[in-house]
Amino acid sequence: MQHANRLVIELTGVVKRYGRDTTEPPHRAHALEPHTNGPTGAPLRARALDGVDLQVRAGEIFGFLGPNGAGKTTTIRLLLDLLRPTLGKVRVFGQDPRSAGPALRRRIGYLPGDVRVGTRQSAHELLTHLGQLRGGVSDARIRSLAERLGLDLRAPIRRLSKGNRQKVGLIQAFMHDPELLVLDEPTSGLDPLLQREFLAMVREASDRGRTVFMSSHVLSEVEQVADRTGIIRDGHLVAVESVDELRTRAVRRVEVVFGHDLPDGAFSEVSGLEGAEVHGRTLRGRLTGPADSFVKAAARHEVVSFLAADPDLEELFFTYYAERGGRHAA
Amino acid sequence: MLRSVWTKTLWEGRNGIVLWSVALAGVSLMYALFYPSINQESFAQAMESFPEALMLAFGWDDLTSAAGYLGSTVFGLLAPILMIVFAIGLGTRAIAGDEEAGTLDLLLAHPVSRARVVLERALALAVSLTVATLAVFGAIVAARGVAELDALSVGAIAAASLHLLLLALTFGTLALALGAIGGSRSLALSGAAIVAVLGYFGNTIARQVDATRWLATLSPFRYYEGGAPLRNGLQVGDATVLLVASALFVAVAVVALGRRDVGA
Ligand SMILES: Nc1ncnc2c1ncn2[C@@H]1O[C@H](COP(=O)(O)OP(=O)(O)OP(=O)(O)O)[C@@H](O)[C@H]1O
Ligand SMILES: [Mg+2]
Repeated sequence: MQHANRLVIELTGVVKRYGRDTTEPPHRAHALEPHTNGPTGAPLRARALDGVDLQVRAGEIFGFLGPNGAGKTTTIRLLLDLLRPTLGKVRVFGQDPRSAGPALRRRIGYLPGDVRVGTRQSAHELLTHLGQLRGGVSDARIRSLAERLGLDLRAPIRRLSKGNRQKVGLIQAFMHDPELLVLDEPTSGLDPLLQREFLAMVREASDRGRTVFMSSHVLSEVEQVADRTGIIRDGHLVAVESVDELRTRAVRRVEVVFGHDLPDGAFSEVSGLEGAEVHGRTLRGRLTGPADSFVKAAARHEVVSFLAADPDLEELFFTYYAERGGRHAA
Repeated sequence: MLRSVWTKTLWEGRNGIVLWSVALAGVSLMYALFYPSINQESFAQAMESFPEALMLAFGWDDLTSAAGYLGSTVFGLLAPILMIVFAIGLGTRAIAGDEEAGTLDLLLAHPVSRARVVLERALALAVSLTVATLAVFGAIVAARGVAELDALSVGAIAAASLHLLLLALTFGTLALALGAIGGSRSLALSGAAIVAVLGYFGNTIARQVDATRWLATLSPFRYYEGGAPLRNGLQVGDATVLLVASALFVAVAVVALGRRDVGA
Protein backbone atom coordinates (compact mmCIF):
# COMPACT_ATOMS: atom_id res chain seq x y z
CA MET A 1 0.00 0.00 0.00
CA GLN A 2 1.38 3.28 -1.12
CA HIS A 3 0.02 5.38 1.72
CA ALA A 4 0.78 2.99 4.55
CA ASN A 5 3.90 4.86 5.52
CA ARG A 6 2.67 8.28 4.54
CA LEU A 7 3.44 10.86 7.20
CA VAL A 8 0.44 12.65 8.55
CA ILE A 9 2.32 14.81 11.02
CA GLU A 10 5.92 15.87 10.57
CA LEU A 11 7.78 18.29 12.79
CA THR A 12 11.37 19.11 11.92
CA GLY A 13 13.54 21.11 14.30
CA VAL A 14 10.56 22.98 15.66
CA VAL A 15 11.32 25.75 18.11
CA LYS A 16 8.55 27.76 19.68
CA ARG A 17 9.06 30.84 21.75
CA TYR A 18 6.01 32.76 22.90
CA GLY A 19 5.76 36.49 22.62
CA ARG A 20 6.25 39.08 19.91
CA ASP A 21 8.17 38.26 16.74
CA THR A 22 7.23 34.64 16.97
CA THR A 23 8.40 33.85 13.48
CA GLU A 24 12.05 34.75 13.34
CA PRO A 25 13.83 34.45 10.00
CA PRO A 26 16.30 31.54 10.07
CA HIS A 27 19.37 33.73 9.72
CA ARG A 28 18.65 35.11 13.16
CA ALA A 29 18.73 31.66 14.65
CA HIS A 30 21.92 32.35 16.56
CA ALA A 31 20.19 35.15 18.42
CA LEU A 32 17.70 32.65 19.75
CA GLU A 33 20.05 30.47 21.70
CA PRO A 34 18.99 30.05 25.30
CA HIS A 35 20.30 32.55 27.82
CA THR A 36 21.05 35.20 25.24
CA ASN A 37 19.47 38.58 25.05
CA GLY A 38 17.13 39.92 22.41
CA PRO A 39 17.80 42.92 20.21
CA THR A 40 16.64 45.24 22.99
CA GLY A 41 18.96 43.63 25.52
CA ALA A 42 16.08 42.04 27.38
CA PRO A 43 16.44 38.32 27.99
CA LEU A 44 14.38 36.31 25.52
CA ARG A 45 11.47 34.26 26.72
CA ALA A 46 12.23 30.58 27.32
CA ARG A 47 11.51 28.16 24.55
CA ALA A 48 8.26 26.27 24.99
CA LEU A 49 9.57 23.87 22.32
CA ASP A 50 13.25 23.52 21.75
CA GLY A 51 13.98 21.62 18.58
CA VAL A 52 11.29 18.98 18.30
CA ASP A 53 11.43 16.33 15.57
CA LEU A 54 8.39 14.15 15.39
CA GLN A 55 6.69 11.95 12.83
CA VAL A 56 3.27 10.37 12.95
CA ARG A 57 2.28 7.93 10.23
CA ALA A 58 -1.12 7.48 8.63
CA GLY A 59 -3.43 5.23 10.61
CA GLU A 60 -1.38 5.44 13.77
CA ILE A 61 -2.58 6.23 17.26
CA PHE A 62 0.13 8.38 18.76
CA GLY A 63 0.19 9.19 22.45
CA PHE A 64 1.93 12.35 23.50
CA LEU A 65 3.00 12.25 27.12
CA GLY A 66 4.54 14.86 29.31
CA PRO A 67 4.22 16.64 32.64
CA ASN A 68 2.61 20.08 33.06
CA GLY A 69 4.19 22.77 30.96
CA ALA A 70 6.17 20.32 28.85
CA GLY A 71 4.92 21.69 25.53
CA LYS A 72 2.10 19.33 24.56
CA THR A 73 -0.52 22.00 24.00
CA THR A 74 2.01 24.17 22.19
CA THR A 75 2.81 21.33 19.78
CA ILE A 76 -0.86 20.64 19.14
CA ARG A 77 -1.77 24.24 18.51
CA LEU A 78 1.05 24.50 15.96
CA LEU A 79 -0.64 21.76 13.95
CA LEU A 80 -3.80 23.86 13.64
CA ASP A 81 -2.03 27.09 12.74
CA LEU A 82 -3.21 28.68 15.96
CA LEU A 83 0.48 29.18 16.73
CA ARG A 84 3.35 29.61 14.30
CA PRO A 85 6.75 28.05 14.88
CA THR A 86 9.61 30.36 15.74
CA LEU A 87 11.94 28.07 13.82
CA GLY A 88 11.62 24.77 12.06
CA LYS A 89 9.06 23.10 9.86
CA VAL A 90 5.56 21.87 10.62
CA ARG A 91 3.76 19.67 8.10
CA VAL A 92 0.32 18.09 8.34
CA PHE A 93 -0.62 15.81 5.44
CA GLY A 94 2.53 17.15 3.84
CA GLN A 95 1.28 20.72 3.95
CA ASP A 96 2.26 23.79 5.90
CA PRO A 97 -0.70 24.58 8.20
CA ARG A 98 -0.18 28.28 7.66
CA SER A 99 -0.36 28.29 3.89
CA ALA A 100 -2.77 25.37 3.52
CA GLY A 101 -5.36 27.18 5.62
CA PRO A 102 -9.00 26.14 5.94
CA ALA A 103 -8.78 23.26 3.45
CA LEU A 104 -6.30 21.49 5.70
CA ARG A 105 -8.31 22.08 8.87
CA ARG A 106 -11.32 20.54 7.20
CA ARG A 107 -9.50 17.20 7.49
CA ILE A 108 -8.72 17.61 11.18
CA GLY A 109 -10.84 17.20 14.28
CA TYR A 110 -9.49 19.19 17.21
CA LEU A 111 -10.22 18.94 20.89
CA PRO A 112 -8.79 21.91 22.80
CA GLY A 113 -7.05 21.26 26.10
CA ASP A 114 -9.56 23.52 27.76
CA VAL A 115 -12.97 23.38 26.09
CA ARG A 116 -14.44 26.82 26.54
CA VAL A 117 -17.64 27.83 24.89
CA GLY A 118 -19.18 30.47 27.07
CA THR A 119 -22.52 31.11 25.51
CA ARG A 120 -26.12 30.88 26.45
CA GLN A 121 -26.92 28.68 23.52
CA SER A 122 -27.60 25.00 23.84
CA ALA A 123 -25.06 22.31 23.06
CA HIS A 124 -27.18 21.30 20.10
CA GLU A 125 -27.14 24.82 18.69
CA LEU A 126 -23.36 25.07 19.01
CA LEU A 127 -22.67 21.65 17.53
CA THR A 128 -24.99 22.32 14.60
CA HIS A 129 -23.23 25.61 13.96
CA LEU A 130 -19.76 24.05 14.12
CA GLY A 131 -20.96 21.27 11.83
CA GLN A 132 -22.16 23.82 9.32
CA LEU A 133 -18.79 25.54 9.34
CA ARG A 134 -17.51 22.16 8.18
CA GLY A 135 -20.06 21.97 5.42
CA GLY A 136 -22.79 20.25 7.41
CA VAL A 137 -22.90 17.32 9.79
CA SER A 138 -26.08 15.28 10.02
CA ASP A 139 -28.25 15.78 13.03
CA ALA A 140 -28.44 12.02 13.49
CA ARG A 141 -24.67 11.88 13.83
CA ILE A 142 -24.64 14.58 16.53
CA ARG A 143 -27.47 12.89 18.39
CA SER A 144 -25.91 9.46 18.31
CA LEU A 145 -22.60 10.76 19.64
CA ALA A 146 -24.40 12.70 22.37
CA GLU A 147 -26.32 9.60 23.31
CA ARG A 148 -23.18 7.55 23.37
CA LEU A 149 -21.44 9.97 25.72
CA GLY A 150 -24.57 10.71 27.70
CA LEU A 151 -24.79 14.42 26.95
CA ASP A 152 -28.04 16.36 27.23
CA LEU A 153 -28.01 18.43 24.04
CA ARG A 154 -30.64 20.87 25.26
CA ALA A 155 -28.65 22.17 28.21
CA PRO A 156 -27.22 25.68 27.86
CA ILE A 157 -23.49 25.30 27.42
CA ARG A 158 -22.57 27.88 29.99
CA ARG A 159 -24.08 25.81 32.73
CA LEU A 160 -22.44 22.53 31.77
CA SER A 161 -20.06 20.86 34.20
CA LYS A 162 -16.44 20.34 33.21
CA GLY A 163 -17.05 16.76 32.13
CA ASN A 164 -20.08 17.69 30.07
CA ARG A 165 -18.19 20.48 28.35
CA GLN A 166 -15.52 17.94 27.55
CA LYS A 167 -18.20 15.81 25.90
CA VAL A 168 -19.24 18.74 23.73
CA GLY A 169 -15.59 19.13 22.77
CA LEU A 170 -15.28 15.45 21.92
CA ILE A 171 -18.44 15.43 19.83
CA GLN A 172 -17.33 18.38 17.72
CA ALA A 173 -13.93 16.76 17.20
CA PHE A 174 -15.37 13.40 16.12
CA MET A 175 -18.60 14.35 14.39
CA HIS A 176 -17.27 14.89 10.88
CA ASP A 177 -15.20 11.72 11.04
CA PRO A 178 -11.94 13.53 10.20
CA GLU A 179 -8.85 11.89 8.77
CA LEU A 180 -6.79 13.21 11.67
CA LEU A 181 -7.90 13.63 15.25
CA VAL A 182 -5.80 15.97 17.37
CA LEU A 183 -6.90 15.64 20.97
CA ASP A 184 -5.43 17.63 23.84
CA GLU A 185 -5.93 15.73 27.09
CA PRO A 186 -9.15 14.15 25.86
CA THR A 187 -10.08 12.32 29.04
CA SER A 188 -9.65 15.17 31.48
CA GLY A 189 -12.86 15.61 33.40
CA LEU A 190 -14.39 12.34 32.20
CA ASP A 191 -15.41 9.67 34.66
CA PRO A 192 -13.87 6.18 34.27
CA LEU A 193 -16.85 4.81 32.35
CA LEU A 194 -16.70 7.64 29.84
CA GLN A 195 -12.95 7.31 29.59
CA ARG A 196 -13.54 3.75 28.42
CA GLU A 197 -16.16 4.90 25.95
CA PHE A 198 -13.76 7.49 24.64
CA LEU A 199 -10.99 4.92 24.18
CA ALA A 200 -13.47 2.78 22.25
CA MET A 201 -14.24 5.73 19.99
CA VAL A 202 -10.54 6.21 19.35
CA ARG A 203 -10.12 2.54 18.46
CA GLU A 204 -13.08 2.65 16.08
CA ALA A 205 -11.68 5.74 14.37
CA SER A 206 -8.36 3.96 14.05
CA ASP A 207 -10.08 0.89 12.58
CA ARG A 208 -11.53 3.15 9.90
CA GLY A 209 -7.98 4.21 9.04
CA ARG A 210 -8.00 7.52 10.86
CA THR A 211 -4.87 8.91 12.48
CA VAL A 212 -5.04 9.95 16.13
CA PHE A 213 -2.67 12.25 17.97
CA MET A 214 -3.55 12.60 21.64
CA SER A 215 -1.80 14.18 24.58
CA SER A 216 -2.07 12.99 28.13
CA HIS A 217 -0.56 12.96 31.60
CA VAL A 218 -1.79 9.47 32.18
CA LEU A 219 0.29 6.61 30.86
CA SER A 220 -2.36 3.97 31.47
CA GLU A 221 -4.90 5.45 29.08
CA VAL A 222 -2.36 6.03 26.36
CA GLU A 223 -1.01 2.56 26.85
CA GLN A 224 -4.47 1.10 26.25
CA VAL A 225 -4.87 2.52 22.75
CA ALA A 226 -1.67 3.99 21.41
CA ASP A 227 0.68 2.32 18.97
CA ARG A 228 3.53 4.65 19.75
CA THR A 229 4.18 7.34 22.30
CA GLY A 230 6.31 10.41 22.40
CA ILE A 231 7.59 11.73 25.68
CA ILE A 232 8.16 15.42 25.98
CA ARG A 233 9.69 17.35 28.80
CA ASP A 234 10.78 20.99 28.99
CA GLY A 235 10.22 21.39 25.28
CA HIS A 236 12.43 18.45 24.37
CA LEU A 237 11.11 15.25 22.90
CA VAL A 238 13.07 12.84 25.08
CA ALA A 239 11.84 9.58 23.59
CA VAL A 240 9.57 8.08 20.98
CA GLU A 241 8.80 4.47 21.73
CA SER A 242 6.31 1.76 21.05
CA VAL A 243 3.91 1.17 23.88
CA ASP A 244 5.46 -2.22 24.57
CA GLU A 245 8.87 -0.71 25.11
CA LEU A 246 7.38 1.92 27.34
CA ARG A 247 5.61 -0.66 29.40
CA THR A 248 8.81 -2.47 30.20
CA ARG A 249 10.27 0.73 31.56
CA ALA A 250 7.28 1.74 33.59
CA VAL A 251 7.66 1.74 37.34
CA ARG A 252 4.60 0.54 39.24
CA ARG A 253 3.91 0.77 42.91
CA VAL A 254 2.71 -2.64 44.11
CA GLU A 255 1.06 -3.63 47.34
CA VAL A 256 0.16 -7.20 48.20
CA VAL A 257 -1.60 -8.37 51.36
CA PHE A 258 -1.04 -12.04 52.23
CA GLY A 259 -3.03 -14.46 54.34
CA HIS A 260 -0.14 -15.08 56.74
CA ASP A 261 3.00 -13.40 57.98
CA LEU A 262 5.84 -13.56 55.50
CA PRO A 263 9.11 -15.29 56.21
CA ASP A 264 12.16 -13.03 56.36
CA GLY A 265 13.66 -12.14 52.98
CA ALA A 266 10.79 -13.74 51.09
CA PHE A 267 10.89 -11.18 48.28
CA SER A 268 14.48 -10.03 48.38
CA GLU A 269 15.51 -11.97 45.28
CA VAL A 270 12.68 -11.07 42.94
CA SER A 271 13.93 -9.42 39.75
CA GLY A 272 12.43 -6.03 38.95
CA LEU A 273 11.24 -5.38 42.48
CA GLU A 274 12.90 -2.53 44.29
CA GLY A 275 12.54 -1.14 47.76
CA ALA A 276 10.54 -4.11 49.00
CA GLU A 277 9.24 -3.58 52.51
CA VAL A 278 7.36 -6.10 54.56
CA HIS A 279 5.09 -5.03 57.38
CA GLY A 280 3.45 -8.03 58.91
CA ARG A 281 1.36 -9.47 56.09
CA THR A 282 1.73 -6.54 53.73
CA LEU A 283 4.38 -6.17 51.07
CA ARG A 284 5.08 -2.84 49.37
CA GLY A 285 7.54 -2.12 46.62
CA ARG A 286 8.22 -0.68 43.19
CA LEU A 287 8.12 -2.95 40.20
CA THR A 288 9.90 -2.26 36.94
CA GLY A 289 9.71 -4.25 33.73
CA PRO A 290 8.08 -7.66 33.33
CA ALA A 291 5.95 -8.63 36.31
CA ASP A 292 6.40 -12.36 35.76
CA SER A 293 8.89 -13.26 38.46
CA PHE A 294 7.14 -11.08 41.02
CA VAL A 295 3.72 -12.60 40.35
CA LYS A 296 5.16 -16.10 40.55
CA ALA A 297 6.91 -15.35 43.83
CA ALA A 298 3.69 -13.94 45.27
CA ALA A 299 1.72 -16.94 44.08
CA ARG A 300 3.65 -19.20 46.43
CA HIS A 301 1.75 -17.60 49.29
CA GLU A 302 -1.92 -17.07 50.01
CA VAL A 303 -2.80 -13.69 48.39
CA VAL A 304 -5.61 -11.68 50.01
CA SER A 305 -5.35 -8.58 47.84
CA PHE A 306 -3.13 -7.43 45.03
CA LEU A 307 -2.65 -3.86 43.87
CA ALA A 308 -0.47 -2.60 41.05
CA ALA A 309 -0.91 1.16 40.73
CA ASP A 310 -0.84 3.06 37.45
CA PRO A 311 2.71 3.66 36.39
CA ASP A 312 3.97 6.92 37.71
CA LEU A 313 4.68 9.17 34.78
CA GLU A 314 7.06 11.39 36.67
CA GLU A 315 9.24 8.40 37.45
CA LEU A 316 9.10 7.29 33.86
CA PHE A 317 10.17 10.73 32.74
CA PHE A 318 12.90 10.60 35.27
CA THR A 319 14.36 7.42 33.85
CA TYR A 320 14.56 9.01 30.43
CA TYR A 321 15.85 12.17 31.93
CA ALA A 322 18.60 10.47 33.89
CA GLU A 323 19.54 8.36 30.88
CA ARG A 324 20.32 11.39 28.78
CA GLY A 325 23.00 12.26 31.30
CA GLY A 326 21.12 15.35 32.37
CA ARG A 327 21.65 16.90 28.97
CA HIS A 328 18.79 19.28 29.61
CA ALA A 329 19.40 19.67 33.28
CA ALA A 330 20.52 23.04 34.69
CA MET B 1 -29.36 31.33 11.70
CA LEU B 2 -26.27 29.28 12.37
CA ARG B 3 -24.76 28.82 8.95
CA SER B 4 -22.09 31.44 9.06
CA VAL B 5 -19.96 33.27 11.55
CA TRP B 6 -21.75 36.59 11.19
CA THR B 7 -25.29 35.28 11.58
CA LYS B 8 -24.16 33.29 14.59
CA THR B 9 -22.56 36.40 16.07
CA LEU B 10 -25.76 38.37 15.54
CA TRP B 11 -27.85 35.59 17.00
CA GLU B 12 -25.71 35.45 20.11
CA GLY B 13 -25.83 39.22 20.47
CA ARG B 14 -29.54 39.51 19.89
CA ASN B 15 -30.43 40.50 23.45
CA GLY B 16 -27.88 43.29 23.45
CA ILE B 17 -29.09 44.58 20.11
CA VAL B 18 -32.70 44.67 21.32
CA LEU B 19 -31.81 46.33 24.62
CA TRP B 20 -29.61 49.01 23.09
CA SER B 21 -32.16 49.70 20.36
CA VAL B 22 -34.95 50.10 22.90
CA ALA B 23 -32.79 52.38 25.05
CA LEU B 24 -31.81 54.51 22.05
CA ALA B 25 -35.37 54.71 20.75
CA GLY B 26 -36.61 55.61 24.24
CA VAL B 27 -34.09 58.39 24.74
CA SER B 28 -34.70 59.79 21.26
CA LEU B 29 -38.45 59.70 21.74
CA MET B 30 -38.24 61.38 25.12
CA TYR B 31 -36.17 64.26 23.82
CA ALA B 32 -38.26 64.67 20.69
CA LEU B 33 -41.46 64.84 22.70
CA PHE B 34 -39.90 67.45 24.97
CA TYR B 35 -39.36 69.82 22.04
CA PRO B 36 -42.77 71.61 22.14
CA SER B 37 -42.05 72.93 25.62
CA ILE B 38 -38.75 74.43 24.49
CA ASN B 39 -40.06 75.85 21.27
CA GLN B 40 -41.61 78.81 23.13
CA GLU B 41 -40.90 82.53 23.42
CA SER B 42 -40.12 82.37 27.12
CA PHE B 43 -37.47 79.71 26.66
CA ALA B 44 -35.77 81.56 23.85
CA GLN B 45 -35.59 84.66 26.05
CA ALA B 46 -34.15 82.69 28.92
CA MET B 47 -31.44 81.30 26.67
CA GLU B 48 -30.33 84.77 25.66
CA SER B 49 -29.03 85.41 29.16
CA PHE B 50 -26.38 82.65 28.82
CA PRO B 51 -22.83 83.65 27.81
CA GLU B 52 -22.41 83.24 24.09
CA ALA B 53 -19.12 81.34 24.28
CA LEU B 54 -20.70 78.70 26.43
CA MET B 55 -23.65 78.38 24.08
CA LEU B 56 -21.29 77.95 21.15
CA ALA B 57 -19.13 75.43 22.95
CA PHE B 58 -22.08 73.23 23.65
CA GLY B 59 -23.70 73.85 20.32
CA TRP B 60 -26.68 75.44 21.95
CA ASP B 61 -26.62 78.48 19.73
CA ASP B 62 -29.85 77.53 18.04
CA LEU B 63 -31.73 75.48 20.55
CA THR B 64 -35.19 76.53 19.56
CA SER B 65 -35.23 75.48 15.91
CA ALA B 66 -36.14 71.86 15.30
CA ALA B 67 -32.75 71.08 13.71
CA GLY B 68 -30.88 72.97 16.41
CA TYR B 69 -32.74 71.24 19.19
CA LEU B 70 -32.32 67.70 17.91
CA GLY B 71 -28.80 68.45 16.76
CA SER B 72 -27.68 69.39 20.24
CA THR B 73 -29.69 66.89 22.24
CA VAL B 74 -30.34 63.57 20.53
CA PHE B 75 -27.78 63.79 17.72
CA GLY B 76 -25.42 66.09 19.60
CA LEU B 77 -24.83 64.08 22.69
CA LEU B 78 -26.92 61.15 23.77
CA ALA B 79 -27.29 59.07 20.65
CA PRO B 80 -23.61 59.34 19.71
CA ILE B 81 -22.49 58.47 23.23
CA LEU B 82 -24.80 55.47 23.51
CA MET B 83 -24.02 54.30 19.99
CA ILE B 84 -20.27 54.62 20.52
CA VAL B 85 -20.41 52.73 23.80
CA PHE B 86 -22.45 50.00 22.12
CA ALA B 87 -20.09 49.91 19.14
CA ILE B 88 -16.90 49.75 21.20
CA GLY B 89 -18.39 46.96 23.29
CA LEU B 90 -19.22 44.95 20.18
CA GLY B 91 -15.92 45.69 18.50
CA THR B 92 -13.99 44.64 21.58
CA ARG B 93 -15.89 41.41 21.87
CA ALA B 94 -15.52 40.61 18.17
CA ILE B 95 -11.93 39.39 18.41
CA ALA B 96 -10.20 40.23 21.71
CA GLY B 97 -13.16 39.28 23.90
CA ASP B 98 -13.61 36.02 22.08
CA GLU B 99 -9.91 35.33 22.29
CA GLU B 100 -9.63 36.03 26.01
CA ALA B 101 -12.66 33.89 26.68
CA GLY B 102 -10.79 31.09 24.90
CA THR B 103 -13.52 30.54 22.34
CA LEU B 104 -11.70 31.94 19.31
CA ASP B 105 -9.37 28.95 19.52
CA LEU B 106 -12.08 26.44 18.65
CA LEU B 107 -13.56 28.61 15.90
CA LEU B 108 -10.22 29.09 14.15
CA ALA B 109 -9.50 25.38 14.34
CA HIS B 110 -12.41 24.97 11.93
CA PRO B 111 -12.14 25.42 8.19
CA VAL B 112 -12.63 29.18 8.31
CA SER B 113 -9.84 31.62 7.59
CA ARG B 114 -8.88 34.28 10.06
CA ALA B 115 -9.68 36.93 7.47
CA ARG B 116 -13.16 35.52 7.07
CA VAL B 117 -13.73 35.60 10.83
CA VAL B 118 -12.65 39.25 11.02
CA LEU B 119 -14.78 40.24 8.02
CA GLU B 120 -17.87 38.40 9.24
CA ARG B 121 -17.51 39.81 12.73
CA ALA B 122 -17.20 43.30 11.20
CA LEU B 123 -20.34 42.62 9.18
CA ALA B 124 -22.20 41.57 12.31
CA LEU B 125 -21.01 44.76 13.97
CA ALA B 126 -22.29 46.85 11.06
CA VAL B 127 -25.66 45.10 11.06
CA SER B 128 -26.07 45.48 14.84
CA LEU B 129 -25.29 49.19 14.63
CA THR B 130 -27.67 49.60 11.70
CA VAL B 131 -30.51 48.13 13.74
CA ALA B 132 -29.76 50.47 16.63
CA THR B 133 -29.56 53.45 14.25
CA LEU B 134 -32.89 52.52 12.72
CA ALA B 135 -34.36 52.61 16.23
CA VAL B 136 -33.20 56.23 16.62
CA PHE B 137 -34.41 57.14 13.16
CA GLY B 138 -37.75 55.41 13.67
CA ALA B 139 -38.37 57.05 17.04
CA ILE B 140 -37.72 60.55 15.74
CA VAL B 141 -39.74 60.09 12.58
CA ALA B 142 -42.57 58.70 14.70
CA ALA B 143 -42.42 61.68 17.08
CA ARG B 144 -42.12 64.22 14.27
CA GLY B 145 -45.83 64.92 13.82
CA VAL B 146 -46.73 64.94 17.48
CA ALA B 147 -43.77 66.97 18.64
CA GLU B 148 -44.00 69.89 16.17
CA LEU B 149 -40.77 68.79 14.53
CA ASP B 150 -42.20 68.81 11.00
CA ALA B 151 -39.84 71.60 10.05
CA LEU B 152 -37.37 68.72 9.65
CA SER B 153 -37.68 66.55 6.58
CA VAL B 154 -37.52 62.78 6.93
CA GLY B 155 -34.56 62.95 4.55
CA ALA B 156 -32.66 65.20 6.95
CA ILE B 157 -33.33 62.84 9.84
CA ALA B 158 -32.16 59.96 7.67
CA ALA B 159 -28.98 61.84 6.76
CA ALA B 160 -28.18 62.58 10.41
CA SER B 161 -28.88 58.94 11.29
CA LEU B 162 -26.54 57.72 8.59
CA HIS B 163 -23.79 59.96 9.92
CA LEU B 164 -24.52 58.57 13.39
CA LEU B 165 -24.20 55.01 12.09
CA LEU B 166 -20.89 55.75 10.40
CA LEU B 167 -19.51 57.47 13.49
CA ALA B 168 -20.34 54.46 15.65
CA LEU B 169 -18.97 52.11 12.99
CA THR B 170 -15.67 53.99 13.02
CA PHE B 171 -15.23 53.45 16.75
CA GLY B 172 -16.52 49.89 16.64
CA THR B 173 -14.05 48.90 13.93
CA LEU B 174 -11.29 50.75 15.77
CA ALA B 175 -11.94 48.59 18.84
CA LEU B 176 -12.04 45.52 16.62
CA ALA B 177 -8.69 46.43 15.06
CA LEU B 178 -7.06 47.11 18.42
CA GLY B 179 -8.35 43.77 19.63
CA ALA B 180 -7.00 42.02 16.56
CA ILE B 181 -3.61 43.63 17.06
CA GLY B 182 -3.17 43.01 20.78
CA GLY B 183 -5.62 40.26 21.62
CA SER B 184 -6.49 42.10 24.79
CA ARG B 185 -9.97 43.22 25.77
CA SER B 186 -8.84 45.98 28.07
CA LEU B 187 -6.47 47.37 25.47
CA ALA B 188 -9.14 47.42 22.76
CA LEU B 189 -11.74 48.92 25.06
CA SER B 190 -9.59 51.60 26.64
CA GLY B 191 -7.80 52.43 23.39
CA ALA B 192 -11.03 53.07 21.51
CA ALA B 193 -12.58 54.91 24.47
CA ILE B 194 -9.58 57.23 24.75
CA VAL B 195 -9.75 58.06 21.06
CA ALA B 196 -13.47 58.76 21.45
CA VAL B 197 -13.03 61.13 24.38
CA LEU B 198 -10.05 62.93 22.80
CA GLY B 199 -11.90 63.10 19.50
CA TYR B 200 -14.99 64.59 21.08
CA PHE B 201 -13.28 67.27 23.11
CA GLY B 202 -10.67 67.86 20.43
CA ASN B 203 -13.40 68.61 17.95
CA THR B 204 -15.36 70.82 20.34
CA ILE B 205 -12.41 72.82 21.61
CA ALA B 206 -10.29 73.01 18.47
CA ARG B 207 -13.00 74.59 16.38
CA GLN B 208 -13.38 77.51 18.82
CA VAL B 209 -10.06 78.97 17.76
CA ASP B 210 -8.93 79.60 14.20
CA ALA B 211 -5.35 78.52 14.83
CA THR B 212 -6.32 75.05 15.99
CA ARG B 213 -9.27 74.48 13.70
CA TRP B 214 -7.26 72.10 11.53
CA LEU B 215 -6.87 69.83 14.52
CA ALA B 216 -10.55 69.10 14.42
CA THR B 217 -10.06 67.43 11.03
CA LEU B 218 -8.38 64.59 12.89
CA SER B 219 -11.50 63.91 14.92
CA PRO B 220 -14.19 61.53 13.71
CA PHE B 221 -16.72 63.88 15.29
CA ARG B 222 -15.78 66.57 12.80
CA TYR B 223 -17.07 64.30 10.01
CA TYR B 224 -20.09 63.41 12.04
CA GLU B 225 -21.51 66.83 12.73
CA GLY B 226 -19.17 69.32 11.05
CA GLY B 227 -21.37 69.60 7.96
CA ALA B 228 -24.60 69.73 10.01
CA PRO B 229 -26.38 66.90 8.18
CA LEU B 230 -29.59 67.59 10.08
CA ARG B 231 -29.75 71.01 8.41
CA ASN B 232 -27.89 70.37 5.18
CA GLY B 233 -28.62 66.75 4.43
CA LEU B 234 -26.10 64.00 3.73
CA GLN B 235 -22.49 65.22 3.62
CA VAL B 236 -21.08 62.82 1.08
CA GLY B 237 -17.46 63.78 1.67
CA ASP B 238 -17.67 63.51 5.45
CA ALA B 239 -19.58 60.24 5.31
CA THR B 240 -16.97 58.84 2.95
CA VAL B 241 -14.17 59.75 5.35
CA LEU B 242 -15.86 57.80 8.15
CA LEU B 243 -16.58 54.88 5.86
CA VAL B 244 -13.02 54.74 4.57
CA ALA B 245 -11.66 54.95 8.13
CA SER B 246 -13.87 52.01 9.14
CA ALA B 247 -12.78 49.99 6.13
CA LEU B 248 -9.17 50.79 6.95
CA PHE B 249 -9.58 49.59 10.53
CA VAL B 250 -11.11 46.35 9.31
CA ALA B 251 -8.23 45.87 6.89
CA VAL B 252 -5.74 46.47 9.69
CA ALA B 253 -7.59 43.89 11.79
CA VAL B 254 -7.40 41.30 9.00
CA VAL B 255 -3.67 41.80 8.56
CA ALA B 256 -2.92 41.93 12.28
CA LEU B 257 -4.81 38.79 13.20
CA GLY B 258 -3.38 36.96 10.22
CA ARG B 259 0.17 37.55 11.37
CA ARG B 260 0.18 36.58 15.00
CA ASP B 261 -0.37 33.66 17.34
CA VAL B 262 -3.91 33.23 18.55
CA GLY B 263 -4.64 32.99 22.24
CA ALA B 264 -1.01 33.32 23.18
N1 LIG C 1 0.50 31.89 25.84
C1 LIG C 1 1.67 31.64 26.40
N2 LIG C 1 2.56 32.61 26.61
C2 LIG C 1 3.76 32.36 27.16
N3 LIG C 1 4.17 31.15 27.52
C3 LIG C 1 3.34 30.13 27.34
C4 LIG C 1 2.04 30.31 26.77
N4 LIG C 1 1.44 29.10 26.70
C5 LIG C 1 2.31 28.23 27.22
N5 LIG C 1 3.45 28.83 27.59
C6 LIG C 1 4.62 28.17 28.18
O1 LIG C 1 5.07 27.19 27.28
C7 LIG C 1 5.44 26.00 27.97
C8 LIG C 1 4.67 24.82 27.40
O2 LIG C 1 3.30 24.99 27.68
P1 LIG C 1 2.19 23.99 27.16
O3 LIG C 1 0.87 24.63 27.43
O4 LIG C 1 2.49 23.62 25.76
O5 LIG C 1 2.40 22.75 28.12
P2 LIG C 1 1.54 21.40 28.26
O6 LIG C 1 2.46 20.28 28.03
O7 LIG C 1 0.32 21.48 27.41
O8 LIG C 1 1.14 21.46 29.80
P3 LIG C 1 -0.19 20.93 30.54
O9 LIG C 1 0.01 19.49 30.75
O10 LIG C 1 -0.17 21.68 31.84
O11 LIG C 1 -1.36 21.26 29.68
C9 LIG C 1 5.15 26.26 29.44
O12 LIG C 1 6.36 26.58 30.05
C10 LIG C 1 4.25 27.45 29.43
O13 LIG C 1 4.48 28.24 30.57
MG1 LIG D 1 -1.72 21.45 27.85
